Amino acid sequence: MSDERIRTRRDFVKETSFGVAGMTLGLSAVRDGLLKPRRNSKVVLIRHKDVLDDEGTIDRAIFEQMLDDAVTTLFGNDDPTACWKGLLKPTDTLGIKTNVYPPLPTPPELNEMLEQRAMAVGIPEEKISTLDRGVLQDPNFQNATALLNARPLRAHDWSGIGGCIKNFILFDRPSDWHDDSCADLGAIWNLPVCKGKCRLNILVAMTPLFHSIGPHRYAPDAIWQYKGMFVSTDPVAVDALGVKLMEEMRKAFYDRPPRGGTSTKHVGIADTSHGLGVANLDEIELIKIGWMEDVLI
Amino acid sequence: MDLSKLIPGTVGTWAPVDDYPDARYDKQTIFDYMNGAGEVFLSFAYQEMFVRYLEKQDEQLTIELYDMGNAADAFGIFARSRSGDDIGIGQGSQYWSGQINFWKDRYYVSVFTLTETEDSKRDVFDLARAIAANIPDEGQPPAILSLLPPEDLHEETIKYFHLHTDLNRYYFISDSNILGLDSNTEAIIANYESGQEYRFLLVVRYPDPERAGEVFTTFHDTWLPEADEDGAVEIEEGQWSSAILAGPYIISVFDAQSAESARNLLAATQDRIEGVDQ
Repeated sequence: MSDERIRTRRDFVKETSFGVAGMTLGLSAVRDGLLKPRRNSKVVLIRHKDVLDDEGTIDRAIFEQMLDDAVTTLFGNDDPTACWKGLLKPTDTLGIKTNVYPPLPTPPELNEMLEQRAMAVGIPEEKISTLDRGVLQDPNFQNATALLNARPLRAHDWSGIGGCIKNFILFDRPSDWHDDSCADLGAIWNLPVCKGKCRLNILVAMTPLFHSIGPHRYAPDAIWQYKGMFVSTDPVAVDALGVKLMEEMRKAFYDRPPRGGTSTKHVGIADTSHGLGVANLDEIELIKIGWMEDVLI
Repeated sequence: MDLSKLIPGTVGTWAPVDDYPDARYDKQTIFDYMNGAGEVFLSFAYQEMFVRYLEKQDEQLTIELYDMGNAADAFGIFARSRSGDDIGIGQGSQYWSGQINFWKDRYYVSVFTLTETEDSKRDVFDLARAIAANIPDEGQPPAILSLLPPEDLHEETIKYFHLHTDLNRYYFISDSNILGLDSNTEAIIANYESGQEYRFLLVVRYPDPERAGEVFTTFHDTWLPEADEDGAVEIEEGQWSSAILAGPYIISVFDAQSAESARNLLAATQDRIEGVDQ
């Protein structure tokens, strides 16, 4: 046992209203006003009922409009180009961190849209890389001055949620971060290769995988055509909302929602121990725009 | 045993996939197959796995056979993710969304297709039953399961494990290993549901009473330092925890709605421990 102070569930309960086991996101202390919200983090959730057809094919034009509407809402500027110029500089070297999990990858359309917006800012094409695996071997990622982070929301057997925080695990040797259900994933973001570089996080919730059984599993039955995405500068906030959304989907889908597994505590720990962002839903300003049917959160 | 011999020679009209030959993965190479999820298997006595890919027209089917080293750990890996009703294959099984997982003897088996149709579902069931029949013996589930009091037990929530990392997956207590869990300890955690109450019962067996006693001192001083002589503490509003030492076992209850509820579950468990040969 190390000499460092032992932290227990009881400490987390005292310090934060985020459920440390990741199964609940708002504890009674906040509901009862015992803890006062102390910070603020803004997230835009945008949905459009026609962005996917019945086969799951993306309508590119609608998707483009959703991305523009999300950033203009997030930054309070009606001009999407101006928003991107606020995020990126022509002199940036850009890495777009994507995700290639075969059954549920980052939509290629989104990768292209982000590349196009970066080039519209003035970043040369050769200074932009869009990758998942191999980021540490890629010159643009090695020398990146800016990162964009885009990946789908899915349940994950080991870390509870495959979200924006976890998407940076390939900036180091992944097996070094699996301990204790990936509890300290938030610390990856303090590695020099990525610290302070991420300008925008997009947690894609077009077809979230809200439940899985067993390691590395995909199940078509647990796909929900939610047709949305969370957009924020705060990776913890989008993941905290992703956790909540999956929880609500399980409640809606199952007569008796599965309980007792799939800890998502790395999201809370990214806030409380690593200061990466805000996990407490009471401190997240969620702006919902677009299609609101079955929005669930 | 050569794991491939558990698979029937022919599987309906499914044929091997030319681009994906049979493969085996041991303790060192399992990460090549499933990346970080390999840690899940290595937290048990995993020995090796065998995978075969089959296809039929546009459909694909995958068979994974895992040698988990012993029957208790085969149960452990199965119980880790089970939910829903048992489908009667092997010694414990479930079907969900084109996928069957089951355990029998020291083996854990997963058969799955990503495209669930009536035909593929039938084939997945037939294949799983055939593999189960080819495993000649049954194994002993973890003996520690018998210590769980049956009243209010939500059976499908029973988890069996060895390591601190797995405990934290099911119920986070501390970022430090204050229960001294390691590959020589056996632990179970399960939910007891009654009305609006949802208690967790944790039972850990140590190699000997002395080790259990040492750990209990650390655990109790860290987790329940203000416990009175009755031993229960209100950790959060309306959520009580308590723990006792019983021979080589530490028993703890979490999230009980009252001190009495926590104590009753501890006492019922202790009674069962005293009823077995330690």
